[in-house]
Amino acid sequence: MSERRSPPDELLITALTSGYGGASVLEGVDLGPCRAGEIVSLLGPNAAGKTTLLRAIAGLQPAHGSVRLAGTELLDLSLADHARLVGYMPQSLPQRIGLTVIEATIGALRTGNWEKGDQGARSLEAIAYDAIEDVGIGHLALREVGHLSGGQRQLASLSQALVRAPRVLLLDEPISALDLHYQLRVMKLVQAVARRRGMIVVMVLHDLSIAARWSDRVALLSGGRIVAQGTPGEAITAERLAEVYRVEATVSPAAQGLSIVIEDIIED
Amino acid sequence: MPRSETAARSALREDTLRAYARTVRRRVALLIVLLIATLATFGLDIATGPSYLPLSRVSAALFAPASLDLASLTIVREVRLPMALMALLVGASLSLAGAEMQTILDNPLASPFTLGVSSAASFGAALGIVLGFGLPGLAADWIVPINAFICAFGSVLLLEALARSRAAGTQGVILFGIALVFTFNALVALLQFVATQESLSQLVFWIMGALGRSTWESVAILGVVCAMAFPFSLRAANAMTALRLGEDRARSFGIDIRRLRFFSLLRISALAGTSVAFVGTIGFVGLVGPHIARLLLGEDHRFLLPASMLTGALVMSLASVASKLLVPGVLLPVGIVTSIIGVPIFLALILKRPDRV
Repeated sequence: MSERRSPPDELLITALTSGYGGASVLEGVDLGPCRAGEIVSLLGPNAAGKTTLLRAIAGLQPAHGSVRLAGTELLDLSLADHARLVGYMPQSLPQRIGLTVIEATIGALRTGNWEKGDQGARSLEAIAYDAIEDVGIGHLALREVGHLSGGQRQLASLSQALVRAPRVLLLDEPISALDLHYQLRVMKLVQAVARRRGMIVVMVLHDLSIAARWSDRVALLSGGRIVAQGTPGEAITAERLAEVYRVEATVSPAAQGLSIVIEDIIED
Repeated sequence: MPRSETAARSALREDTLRAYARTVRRRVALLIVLLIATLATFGLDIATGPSYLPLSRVSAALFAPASLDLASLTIVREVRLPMALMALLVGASLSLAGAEMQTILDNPLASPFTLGVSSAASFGAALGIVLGFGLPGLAADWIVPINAFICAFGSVLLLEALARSRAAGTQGVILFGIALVFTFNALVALLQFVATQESLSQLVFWIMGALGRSTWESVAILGVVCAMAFPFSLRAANAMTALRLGEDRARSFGIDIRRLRFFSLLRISALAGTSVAFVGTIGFVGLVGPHIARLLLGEDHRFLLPASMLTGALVMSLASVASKLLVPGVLLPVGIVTSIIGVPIFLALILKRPDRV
């Protein structure tokens, strides 16, 4: 895990549209520029298009428009080339998996033209184990993924995404099944890795306070569009929360991040 | 971080990596044990039969043919050897096909038998046996196997087309396969209903599945199909392991799932279609072989795929031996015996590790 090459990466998304079947979900999304080492959080109500946006950036979902990483148009790349630059962590892993945590993580290294690159003389097994230990579940490395709790499974899934050392990491609700300790642990880890490797992290979060505390930038989505983006202080305001989530809230600056108190829902 | 904690962590790291290396060695050892067991059963299979040949004559037929009378030589070389080899090849082919099917369709119930491939083959065979329907210009001996193969292949192509269309998920493919089973079974029943007494008994015998029809020619053909499919299966092993983590996950590793599925279904149709064409419908081994392998060796497909071939070959070979011994002097159809032999093994494994099935 050494420093990334210069110049630092920059991710810029312009006029991105995408959908399922005939129905469009994203209607011209502009996001960024997201800079190397930054954490960008996507916020918004259910069905706002957050997961679709992540899947489109990951190349898992047909999309039009432009997703440029340091001058390279990602939408033009083959899936294999795309996968070398961009890592993706889905919301959940399947229930029945007979692989152990370390097997699954080694599996992530044996596919899709993954290159060892600057990982030195460590074996695949050692590289995989170190990624598992990074997320704090070294003691579970030999357990079957199917036997883990929801939170442990999420951590195992995170190690599979981190181990490939992508330049852009996309996380879909990475802390939704975790207890408070591990929520913070994952956010700290992701931030540390992002800063160290110059990796750009884009994640979907539901917890506004955590997003405000740990994100360099946030984007508020609603109805397939981005209604606000910027630093947490700029983008998360009481008016926007009322507009996007239909809630009454008070937002005030705190020592770290924002203090957000949801008072009531707004009835139509 | 305190020094003692650092030491504990590096000790855990060493222990875990050593334990993983041990697991890999244990799996290689298990593959070798399975191989030896299969070869032993193969030997037993050659040594048994309705005509009570002593072991000395059997081994003479294999290793010193000049010293033996023609009758014994013919029994061993033209009857027992092709049958025993066919048992191994059919078991290995159906089990490998089942293992790949279970992974690419993400369903533990998938097998050539449960998804209609065998039923389609039976229908093809019935067309030939009952109506004499077949491709023009074929020798009479080949009409039934070629019909069976074409129908098996067609049914897999249908499954494949459905799997590739965006409309159906893996559940849709499974449901479609089950619909195929019922459709072809009904069509076979219809043909049985209109069949003459003679062609009916011939058809029933074919459907039961028997190794007695094996010739060196059919053994060679299935051997070539098996030998051609296996290296490609192994090449796809890592991608299939990743697919166990979910389709999105696998695609995010850069794996082209549609391509993987297409070529896998192509292998499955060749393996299952050819097997069923030569020996009739032998159902259970394609389902149980992969499950036994998974219970023993886990889901790393670099081990699961070869292990499935070996467990399939072993079960079929045991079934072949049992088909000769259960009723002395009578050769029972091996398709019947496969289930009788396979079910107890399967149940024992399920009860031991219910979570793995």
